[in-house]
Amino acid sequence: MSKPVDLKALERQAYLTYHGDGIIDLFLGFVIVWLSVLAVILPEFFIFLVGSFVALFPSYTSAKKSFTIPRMGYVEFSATRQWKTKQLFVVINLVTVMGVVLGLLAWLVPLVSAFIVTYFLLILGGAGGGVFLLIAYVTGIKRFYGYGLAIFSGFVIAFLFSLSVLIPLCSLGAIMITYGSVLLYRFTRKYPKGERDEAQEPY
Amino acid sequence: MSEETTPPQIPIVDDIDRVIHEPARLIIMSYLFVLNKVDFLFLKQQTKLSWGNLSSHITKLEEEGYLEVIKKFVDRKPYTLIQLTKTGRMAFEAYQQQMKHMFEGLNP
Repeated sequence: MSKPVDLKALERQAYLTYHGDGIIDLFLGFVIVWLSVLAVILPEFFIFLVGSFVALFPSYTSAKKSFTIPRMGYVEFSATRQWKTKQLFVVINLVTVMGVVLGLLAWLVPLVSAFIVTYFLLILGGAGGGVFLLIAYVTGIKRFYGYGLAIFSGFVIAFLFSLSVLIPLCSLGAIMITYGSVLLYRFTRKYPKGERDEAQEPY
Repeated sequence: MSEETTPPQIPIVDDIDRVIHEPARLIIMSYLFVLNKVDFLFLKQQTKLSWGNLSSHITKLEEEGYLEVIKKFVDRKPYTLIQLTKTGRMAFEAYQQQMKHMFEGLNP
């Protein structure tokens, strides 16, 4: 027996299929690796440079245009979905700005500085994990719940065992890049590029 | 004393929009109802219809004035995009209501 048409599920399925290419995972994985590199090269300026990942956004858009649209087709999601995405970007930017403000406070107020230095890993884990959980909640991409929990537990472990900040960052970056590559491979197999060229579009 | 029996209320199905009611067109209309604009390829991937089938159903829906086909350049590449017209959106909403009422009428 066929199932009734659930419009919300239909929209969600279209959205998840569009993001099933793994490009978002690859992009965020590289952002995390980029942040790790910054933490090694410029540790004293790290907190101020967190927002530099915004410079990597054009690569995400470009990858979607090169891989996803030729294989999957072009889609403009509903105004509600676009509004949710914009709100998500606003929240991510706010978290980044808060990070920069914390960095400034750490430089200017010694008491705050001592607190941040002590709990740096927990603050970063909480903020990073929170952002990933928020992405998962807003977009409905469930694997981001896993990433959120992984980043939070990674930083907690690093805090408890006095590990370098690089260990949780690089581990999560590697997990995301690997999983993103697997998804991209599956996506390119499922949706070959030649489909549009063979199309007999009537208009 | 003879009991007068009133004929049971049979839901009126004649008013159902048969253009939308066809399964393939219903799924096309459903996608267009929840998405803003889509191109042929995206719709084909989602609906799993063949190019020929999709094309003929889209033509039918366009003839009814339920959807419009737009040419748009995205990153200097031409795309044939499809979106619901206001008439199409209203017709789909009316269809939803009609179906809801019809099934309500079928309750024992």
